[in-house]
Amino acid sequence: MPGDRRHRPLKPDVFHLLLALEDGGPCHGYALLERIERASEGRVRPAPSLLYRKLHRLLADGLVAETGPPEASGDERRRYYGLTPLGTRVLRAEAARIVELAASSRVQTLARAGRRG
Amino acid sequence: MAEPGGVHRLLRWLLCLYPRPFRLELGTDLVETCAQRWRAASTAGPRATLAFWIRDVPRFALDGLLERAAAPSPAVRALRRLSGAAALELRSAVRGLGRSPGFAILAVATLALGLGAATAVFSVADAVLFRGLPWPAPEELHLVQGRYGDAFEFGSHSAPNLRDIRAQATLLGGVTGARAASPAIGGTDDPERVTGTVVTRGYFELLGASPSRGRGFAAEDYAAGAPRVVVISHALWRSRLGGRADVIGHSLIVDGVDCEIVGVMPASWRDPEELLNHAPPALWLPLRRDDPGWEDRSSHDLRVLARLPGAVSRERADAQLAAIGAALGEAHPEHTSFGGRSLEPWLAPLADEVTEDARLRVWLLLGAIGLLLFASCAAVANLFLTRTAHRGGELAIRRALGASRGRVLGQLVSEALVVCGAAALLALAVAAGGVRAFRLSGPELPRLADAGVDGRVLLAASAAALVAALGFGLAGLAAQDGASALRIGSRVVDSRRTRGLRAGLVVAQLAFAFTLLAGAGLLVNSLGQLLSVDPGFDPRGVVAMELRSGGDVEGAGAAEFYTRLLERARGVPGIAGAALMQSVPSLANIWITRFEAEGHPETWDPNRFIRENVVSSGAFAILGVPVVEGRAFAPADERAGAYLAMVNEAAARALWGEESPVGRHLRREGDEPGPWLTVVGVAADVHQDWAGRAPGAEVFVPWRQETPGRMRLLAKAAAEPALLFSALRALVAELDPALPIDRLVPLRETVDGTLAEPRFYATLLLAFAVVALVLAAVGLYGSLAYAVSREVRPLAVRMALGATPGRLVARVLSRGIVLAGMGLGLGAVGALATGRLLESLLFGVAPADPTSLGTAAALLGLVSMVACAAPARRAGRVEPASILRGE
Repeated sequence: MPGDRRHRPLKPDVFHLLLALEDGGPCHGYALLERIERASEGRVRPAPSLLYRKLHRLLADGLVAETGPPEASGDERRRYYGLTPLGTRVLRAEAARIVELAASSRVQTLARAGRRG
Repeated sequence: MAEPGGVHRLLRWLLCLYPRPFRLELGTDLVETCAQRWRAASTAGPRATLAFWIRDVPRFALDGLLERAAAPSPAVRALRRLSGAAALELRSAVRGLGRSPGFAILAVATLALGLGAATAVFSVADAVLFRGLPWPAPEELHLVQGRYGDAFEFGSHSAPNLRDIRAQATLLGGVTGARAASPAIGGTDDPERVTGTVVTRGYFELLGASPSRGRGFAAEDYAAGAPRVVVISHALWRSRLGGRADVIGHSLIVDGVDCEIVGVMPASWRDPEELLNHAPPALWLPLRRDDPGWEDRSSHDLRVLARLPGAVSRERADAQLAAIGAALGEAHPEHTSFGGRSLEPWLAPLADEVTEDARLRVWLLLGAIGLLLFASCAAVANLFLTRTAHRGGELAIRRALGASRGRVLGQLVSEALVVCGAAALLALAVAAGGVRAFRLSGPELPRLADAGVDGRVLLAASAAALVAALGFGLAGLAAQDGASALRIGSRVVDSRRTRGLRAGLVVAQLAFAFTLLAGAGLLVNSLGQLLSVDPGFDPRGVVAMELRSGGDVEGAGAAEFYTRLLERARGVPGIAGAALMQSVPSLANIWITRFEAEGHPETWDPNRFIRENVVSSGAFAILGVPVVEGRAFAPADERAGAYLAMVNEAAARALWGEESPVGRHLRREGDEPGPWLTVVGVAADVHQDWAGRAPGAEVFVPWRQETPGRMRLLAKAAAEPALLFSALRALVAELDPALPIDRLVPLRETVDGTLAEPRFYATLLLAFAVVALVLAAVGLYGSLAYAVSREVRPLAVRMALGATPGRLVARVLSRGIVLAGMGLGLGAVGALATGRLLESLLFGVAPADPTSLGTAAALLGLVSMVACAAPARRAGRVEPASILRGE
C-alpha cells in the first residue's frame, strides 16, 4: 500500500515497540516495556520516557491508537495502546522487508562472518 | 526519596520539561509507568534501583528536553515565521541593493565613515569626560587646595599642615596625601627612572583600593626606622619582575635602598596622580616619620585628597577648613601665612580637576564629529531620496498591483536597515582603528588609555544606524507620491516635497562643511603662527641628556659627578661642544624664585616669580642664544663662592626697567635672603615652554655655585645627533653604573613635541572638514545631476524653442550658486560660533579671523563650482532632436 511507505523503514526501537503491541494485543505502557524486554531476551530495555516519546509520535502518525482496557481485568486509571490497521500494515511490510533482506545470500554470508566475530 | 510519593513528585516536576501538548496527552501515563518501573526495581534489589536512578530518571529529563526541541512552542514557531519573513525581506533588500552596487557602496561607505569616526570620538570622550572616576563614590573625592586670600593659589600642602587638617577637619570623611617622586630602581642592574608616589596613611583606603597580591601599607610601615617596603604597579611587576607569582617578599632597590615588595596593585587600578599628571606611578612608598619632609612646614609638596560625605555641603567643609587655616596661620605665621593672610584650604572636586584641561578640547572634538556625522547622514539621506525617486514608477506599480503601503514601507525600511547594518559593522572597525590611532598619536588626555570601543558605544552606534535607517526609509516613502508616479509610468518622478527635502539636505551639508572648514582654518592658521615664532634658540644638532645624580646625594657629590661628566663628554669624538643646564627650553622644569634687585625695593611684588636656572659655561653658545649685553659665564666663573648671575631680557626689564643690569646686584628674596649676586650679562629671551607662551623672566647662575641633582647635559653633535646616544650612555654607565638616564633626546624632537597638540587638533579638524566638504560636494553634484537628468525633456523643449546652450548652463549653475550661497550663509553663523568656542586654543589669530573665514568660503565656493560644472555642461549639451524624437 502506498500509504505505508512514508513510515518505513522503521527504526529498530519503533519496530520492537510495534512488534510488542502486535504480539498480545493492546496493553498499557508498563506492560509494553516488559513485553519488549522479554521479547528481546533482555537486550532491549528502553527507558519509559523514550518509549512514550515514540508512542507520542506513533499516535500522531496514526500507527498506534488508544484503546479501552482489553477486558474487565483492565485498570481504569491506565491508558491502553493498540496497533491501528495502518500500524499493522506498516509492521507487516517492514517484517517482509527484513525477511527479504535476510534471504539474500550476501547478507547471510556477512551474518555468518559477524557471528564468528 | 524512598516512598512512591516522592518519586511521583519528582517525575511530575520533571514533566515540566516536556512541551505542553505532550504533557497533556501522555504525561500522567508516563509518570505512572515510570513509577511502576520504580516499584518493580525497588523490589528487584539495589542493582535495579540504582539502574533506575542513574539511567531512567536522567533519561526522563533528557527526553523532555529532546521532545521540546523537536516540537517547538507556538511562540517559537511564530518567531520563526516572523524571522523567516524578515529574512525574506532582508534577502530581497540585499538583492535590490546588489542591482545598484554603486549606490550601496557609496551609502555604506559614507555612513560607515561618519558612524565610525563618531563612535571613535565618542569612545574617547566617554573615557575622558563622561565615565565616572574609577574609584568608589568618586563624587565624594576632593582635592584640598590652598590659597592666601587672593594673593595666590596652590595645590599642595606640607606634611605637618596635612596632619593638622586631618586631625581637625571633622566634617571630612578622610584625609590623605601623596607626593610625586621619581626614584631610580634596579641599582646597578639596568637602572631605570620611574614615576612613584609617596603616600601618607590611609591613601589606598581612601581610594578604596587594595593590592591584587600582598598588602597595602600598615601603620608600622610609616614609623621611623621601620623596614623599607614598597607596593608596585601591575605594569612594573610584569615588566621588571617578569610577572613572577612569588614576588611578595622580594626586594627592589629604590634609590639605592633595598625595599621589600609587600604588594602589587591590580592592572585596572588608576592612581589619581596618573589622571592628573598623565604619568602612571610604577610604585608607591610610605611617607615615613623620618622623611625630611615629615616635620617641615615650609615644604608644600603633598597633594591632599579628602572625602566629603554626601550629607555635608562643600560650603560648610570649606568654612571649617578656613578656620583651621586661620588657626595655623596664627600658630605658624612664617610658613602658613603670606602677606598677612593666613592659609585658606578649600575643596575642589577631583573629577573637575582631572578633566579641567581636557574638557574644552573633547567638547570641540564632539562638536566637530557631530557636524561630520550629520553631514554623512544628510549625504546618505540624499542618496536614498534620489534612489526612491528613481524607483518611483516601480513602487507605484507595486502599490497599484495591490502591495499595501506597509509592504512598500517595509521594503524601503529593510533596504535602509541593510545599508545601516552593514555601515554599523564597518563603522566598528573604523572606530576601533580610530581609537587606537587616538591613543597612539593623540594628545595627553586623562584616562585616554582606558578608551576602547565598548558595548555602550556599540549600542549607540547601532541605535544611530537604526534611527538613520528608519528616517531614510520614511523620508523616501513620504517623498514618494504613488498616484502621480503611476501617471508618469516608469519614468523618474519627483514631488515638490522631495525637491525641497533634497535642497535642504544639500544646504545643510554645505553649511556643516563650511563650519568645519572655518574651524579647521582657524586652527591651521594658529598652528602656522606658532610655527613661525622664532623660539630664540637653535635646537638643531643638540642632544639633551637628563640625569639626576647621586639620588639623594646632592651638593658636593653631584658637583663632582657633573664635573667629570662634562670633562669626559667634551672629549668624546663627534661632540663639538658640551654644557650643563638645569632647565632647557622645551624641556623646562620650572624652578621659580622671588628675586630682589639691589636698590629697587619697589620692584618687589609677591606675585612676581622669576625662573631660576643653573647653567655651565658654553650653554648659551650651544643653544645659539645671543648674549645681548655684558658677557656669558666663563669657565673661570665655575667655582664655589663666585656670586655671579646672568639675566634674560625679560628679567632685566622686570627688575631694572630701562636701566642696564650689567654690574648690578640681585638676590633671592625670603626670610633668609641669599647672597648678593653680580649680574655679568644679559641673554636674549627664549620661549622656555613653547612658542605659544611668551618668554618668562629668568635668572641664570653658574652651576658650581649650587649644583642641583637634576641637570641636563647638552651636547652639540658634529654630525647626526642620534649617533651620540650610545657614546653618552656608555659615558654615564662608566661614571655611575647605578644611575639611570632619565631622558636622552634630540632637542629638535622636544621642540616639535611642544607643538604636537595644536598640530593634532588642526590635523584632525582639517581631516573632518575635508571629508565634510567632499560629502557636500558629492551631495551638490548629485542633486544637480539628478535635476538635469529629470529635466532633460523640458530642457530639450526649451532648446528647440530657441534657448541657447549658454542659457541652460547658466540656469543649472545659478541653482548651484543659490544652494552654495545658502549653505555659506548658514555656515557663516556656525563658523562665527565655532571661532568663539576655539578662542582659547588660538594663537595669534582672532576668532573671526577674516583670512581663515575667507579662505574657507573661497574653498567651499570653488568646490561647489566644480561640483556644478559637470551637470551644467550636460544641460548645455542636450540634443533636442534626439530626445524629442524618442518621445
